[in-house]
Amino acid sequence: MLQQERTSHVSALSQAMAYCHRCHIVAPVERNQATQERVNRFSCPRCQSSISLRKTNSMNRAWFFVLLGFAVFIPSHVFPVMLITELASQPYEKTILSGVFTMFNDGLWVLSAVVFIASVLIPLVKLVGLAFLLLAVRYKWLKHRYRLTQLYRFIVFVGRWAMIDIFFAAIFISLNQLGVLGNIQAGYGATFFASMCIITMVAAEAFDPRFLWDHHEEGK
Amino acid sequence: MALLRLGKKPATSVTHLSHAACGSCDLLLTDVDVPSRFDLTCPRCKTVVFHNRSSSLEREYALVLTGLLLFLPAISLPIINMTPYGQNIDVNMMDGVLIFLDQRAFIVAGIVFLSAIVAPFLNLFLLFLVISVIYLDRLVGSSAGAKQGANAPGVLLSYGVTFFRWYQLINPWIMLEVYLMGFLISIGNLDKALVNPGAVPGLGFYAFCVVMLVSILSSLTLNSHYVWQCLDRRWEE
Repeated sequence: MLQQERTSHVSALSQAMAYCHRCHIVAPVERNQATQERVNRFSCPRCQSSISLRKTNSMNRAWFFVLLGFAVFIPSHVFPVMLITELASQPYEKTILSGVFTMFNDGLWVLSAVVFIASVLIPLVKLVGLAFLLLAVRYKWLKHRYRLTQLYRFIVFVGRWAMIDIFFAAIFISLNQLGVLGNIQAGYGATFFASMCIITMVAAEAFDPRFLWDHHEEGK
Repeated sequence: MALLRLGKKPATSVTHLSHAACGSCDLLLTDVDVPSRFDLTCPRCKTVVFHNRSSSLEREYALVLTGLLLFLPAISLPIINMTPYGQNIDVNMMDGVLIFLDQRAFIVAGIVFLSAIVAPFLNLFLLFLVISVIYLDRLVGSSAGAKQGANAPGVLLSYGVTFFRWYQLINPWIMLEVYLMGFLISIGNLDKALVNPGAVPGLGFYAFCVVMLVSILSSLTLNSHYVWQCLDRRWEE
């Protein structure tokens, strides 16, 4: 690992530069021809993708998707993910949590732990964590900026793993489709759950971690 | 292959960056030298700003071609074969999408289709296009060097820029390893559900594993800085 020795805390923004997330160059911020003011959004001189000084409308978009995520989280665990019709017994419904419990009771502890972590803990950590980050930016609880940045990185890293349950359902349902066991139908819970995964990923994309560091120079 | 030999020697030396900025805290770094095989880490928030990986386009090309060749088998051949009660059951990756379509769960079907099939395919295919464009440009450039005023290379590379931008956009949406985990969990659940020990992974499973490994390896070893440098050549014409 290589680190720069200098401990100067100069942000690119303060030097009228902006980082391009697509091609990783640092481009000088364009100025408006008429007013000579810095524009908030311009196209990258190298790859033509648009560079925003800070993600456009980041806080509002992130709040919207976080709240939407919370709203969808509840039905995704209340409604059944699978409706199972077995030959021998009454048809019954399975939510994600009841699936975890059956797996646990059958002795599949590792699997039940994986499903529980992936489909309950990860979405909750993502939503609560993002809400906390947004509040931290809003109310300037930025004493532990580094930890908050780590939290954000963790949220982004862990994001995709919430989809495990949907892929599990996809294969499990198609394996049982051929009438040996009976029939399994996908329930509304699956739709809510899959949407929730995507919504939380979009929320994490919408948040701009640079807000956590923006007042660092003044603060110190 | 003549085309492949046109590649320059991989640039594994020290890379000098006049400016670099951290994507997650916006710290500006100036005049940094990054030795080969080192990562430049942001001194403030410890995010990796820049990897100086060995930059072999040939290796990436080989990985991507392997992935593309095996992609169709991976989604169309059965990933599991079972014979419960003497009845043959096999399931492939497309079935996982089609079953949701059958059951009118369109949103779920769409999300599974996009994240497990479209995104991984585009990931490989766009990288294939980008590297092909770079090679083609070198080929055209070396033959058009004699005739002056040939404008074709610049045009080719500007397509490459678009493809590579899309490639970077798609990266977070590839969920092959998550799919594998979901697959293993459903196999674990089967033991009880189907009283049948004879479930064996099919050819599609092996193809899928290779596609997954290749897709992870290619994104881990790709030196995007080097690719952008190759694409930058469009201005030198």
